[in-house]
Formats: sequence, structure tokens, C-alpha cells
Amino acid sequence: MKKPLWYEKLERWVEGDSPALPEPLAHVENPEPVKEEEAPVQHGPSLLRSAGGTAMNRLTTAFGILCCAIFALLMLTTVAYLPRFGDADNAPENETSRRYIEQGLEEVGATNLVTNIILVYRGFDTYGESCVLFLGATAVIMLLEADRKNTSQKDRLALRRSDALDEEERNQILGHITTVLMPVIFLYGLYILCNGHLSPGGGFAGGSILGGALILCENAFGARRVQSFFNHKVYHIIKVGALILYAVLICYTIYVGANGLPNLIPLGTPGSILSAGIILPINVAVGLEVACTMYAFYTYFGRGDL
Amino acid sequence: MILEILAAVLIGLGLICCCIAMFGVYRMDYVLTRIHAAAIIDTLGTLLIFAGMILLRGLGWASAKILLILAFQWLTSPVSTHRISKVEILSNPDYDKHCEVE
Amino acid sequence: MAAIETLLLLGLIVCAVAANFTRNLLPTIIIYAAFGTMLSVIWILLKAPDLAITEAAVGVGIDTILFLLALRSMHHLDGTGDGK
Repeated sequence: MKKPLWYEKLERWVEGDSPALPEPLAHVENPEPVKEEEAPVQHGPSLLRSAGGTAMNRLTTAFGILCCAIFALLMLTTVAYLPRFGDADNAPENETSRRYIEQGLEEVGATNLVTNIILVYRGFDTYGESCVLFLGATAVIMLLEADRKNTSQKDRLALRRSDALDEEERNQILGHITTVLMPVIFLYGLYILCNGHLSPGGGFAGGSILGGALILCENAFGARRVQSFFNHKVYHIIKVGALILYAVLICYTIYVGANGLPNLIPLGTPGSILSAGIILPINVAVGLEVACTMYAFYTYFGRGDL
Repeated sequence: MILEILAAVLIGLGLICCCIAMFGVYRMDYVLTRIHAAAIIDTLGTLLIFAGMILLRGLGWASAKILLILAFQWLTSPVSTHRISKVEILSNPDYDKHCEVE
Repeated sequence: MAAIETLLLLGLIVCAVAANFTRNLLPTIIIYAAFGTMLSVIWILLKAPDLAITEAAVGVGIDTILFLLALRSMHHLDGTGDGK
């Protein structure tokens, strides 16, 4: 079957090849067919690489497109049955959201209503998300930690060689720019983290900015410099401590709210930084959790160690 | 009035720069030359467009924020361009077949 | 403003379709990052800045890094001398 010209052009443009080169398309069908028996590790990638090559792959592609089309059709049908935007008796107009909007400021104390809802009214769900992050990082550590059982001598040599190459090529430009920018990025992350109850942002956004800053630090100064202040001990303390802090606070809120007891934590004046009771510590806990998880994902995916 | 015309001219020049860079990325055929084309957007294109936006809004907090964004862009984007080209040179032993590198 | 929104939505659709038509996984990741960028601008236009910040930080920044690392640990990045 001959593909139409526009499709070929689109495909080549998407591939990143030059549109001016008239090279044939079918040249990476099976890059190393001989090596596949002796190196089973190469099998998965080469299967992924030549999608659309053989008949089986074409069938898989067709099946995938069919699944996507059916799913898109289902979603569009659902959209057709949604209530009209702005109707008086829509689901968002019921008493729950009215209570969130009208009394959220007095009951919880944060001027950012979204934070009120996700951290206190629906705090249990967000606690579940934090647990998911914790479990994800734990699973990554269990699977990818490079200890004596799952690394060979070759892997260790390759890692050491790449480390030596990094040290040798330790980049002056990146180092200087990172020295200039690192405090600003950390400050921005902390601002978003600590102002989650006053302005947009909060734990997840600020934590991922902090994690990205740690990743940049690791890239610019090398893993050893980061390990000097962020080693296994610090990592485990922060991670478990943040989760326990969150769990205690959310248990307290649920207990107080369910039994109708008075809230002992002062709410403060709305709009100041030390207001909104438990939201600020919860935001800090979530942010630390997310930052640790992101950095752990990065290092364990890359080197298999913190 | 004059300020608005000036701002429009600046933003138009910036957009022309972005178009030239896009065309360059589409036209060139090797990583280093493509990066050379794409870096125009991050430096000259943003400078011209942001200058036009500052002229439109006048001096104030908004223009201060725009200047901060410009500073951040100018600090980070050349570094990332430099890193990408460095990786290409380190990993591709025959890079000078495609283009002349001093 | 409506024109910008329409353009961004069209860009989302184009990115989502184009990500399926690549034979290499690296362009898919880059297209996904472009998708996330446009999505975060759309969140801002829809008055959801919380989501926009999170999408820009997680969906564009960290996800791209993690996907690239996963590709590298699969020895799937061509031309980097990594799989040898």
C-alpha cells in the first residue's frame, strides 16, 4: 500500500528528519535481526522501535487506533449528555459547593478556596494521593536500587566511566548559571509552597519545583555534592516525617469535625501568612513529600542510588 | 498613539524572528545547525516581543515581571542550548561531517 | 481571546494525534511536553492557576525528565553511544 505524500511528509516531519532529504522510509525496520537471539535485552526496544513495520505491528497499530476511536466516541457521547453550562439545577449548584464557597473562609480560613477544598474538606483524598506518592517512591527504590544482586560488573564500570566523564566535563557555564539561579528557584518553590493558602499553588506545585531544583543541582554540581546534604538518612526522615505529620493533622481534623468538637488550632486573620490553621503545615508536608519523591525518581531511574 | 505603533512594530519584528527561526529549524538537517536556528526565538524573539509588551503596558509591576521573565529566559536558554550541543559533540564522533566546527 | 483559545485547543488535538504517529519514542516525549505547555496555558485561560502551575511543573518539567531517563535505561536513545 502506497502511503500518500502528505502522510509521508508529516511522518518525516514528526520523526525530525529534514523534509528536503528524499531518503527511503523503510530503513530502520529491523536494525539488528542477528543480535536478537544472543542479546535478549535488545528485544524489547527493537520491538518498540519498528512500529508499523511488519504485518503484526500494523495490526497492533490498527487495533490501537480502533481503541482510541471507540474511547473518543464514548467520551463525546458523554459530553453530549452533560447538563448545560450555567443551569440553575446543575450538580455544581447544590448545597455542598455553596457551603464550600460561602463558609469556607470562616470554617477553614484560607483565602484560596481550592486549597480549602482539597486539603481540608476533601483532605482524605489528598492524603491518599500522598500515600500513592510514598508507595510509588518505595516501589521504585525496591525495583531499581542498584545493589550487588541486580548489577553486573559491566554496569558498575559503565556507571563509573560516565561519572568520570561527568567530572571531567564538569561544565563551567552550567555551574555558574546554576549558582546564580539556584537560590531564586528555591525561593520561588518555597514561596509557592508556603503561600498555598493565599494564592494559587500549594504543596504539589511547590514540591515539584523544589524537586526540579534538586535535579538541576545534581546535574550541575554532581551527585556527590548533593549527597553531602541529601543522603539516605535525610531522605527517609523527611519522607516518613512528612507523611506522619500529614496523617496526624488529617486525623485530628476528621476527629474534631465528626464529633462536633471545637477546633483548638487558631485560624488567624485571613490573608496573613500564619493563618488557616492546619493548611500551612499540610502544604509544607505535601511539598516535602513531593520534592523527595521527584528527586528519588530521578536518581533511581538514572543511577540506581540516591 | 506613537507608542502603540512602536509596540506593534516591535512585536511584529519579534514574530518575524520567530518565523525565521521556525523556518530554519524546518529547513536545516543537523542538530547543531538546527539549534543555531532555534536559539533565535529564545533570545531575540523574546526580547523584541517583551519590549513591545512593555511599551504597550507602560512601566509598572507588569513590566517588572516581564523583565524578570526576560532575565530568566536569557540566563537559562543559552545554557540549555549549549548543553544540547555539547551532548551531541560528545556522543557523535563524526559531527564535523555534517557541518564545520572550529 | 476566543481565537487564542481555539488555536490552543487545535494545537492540543494536533499534538495528541501526532504523538501517535511517531516511530521513535523520543519525538513522542517532546510532543507530549508541547501538549503539556499548551494545556497549562489553557488552564490559565480557564481561570485555574493552581492546575496551571502544577501542570507546568510536573507535566512538562518532571515528566519529561523521567520519560527520558526511562528511555535511557531501556538503552533506547539512538546515537548517544549509550547502548554500546
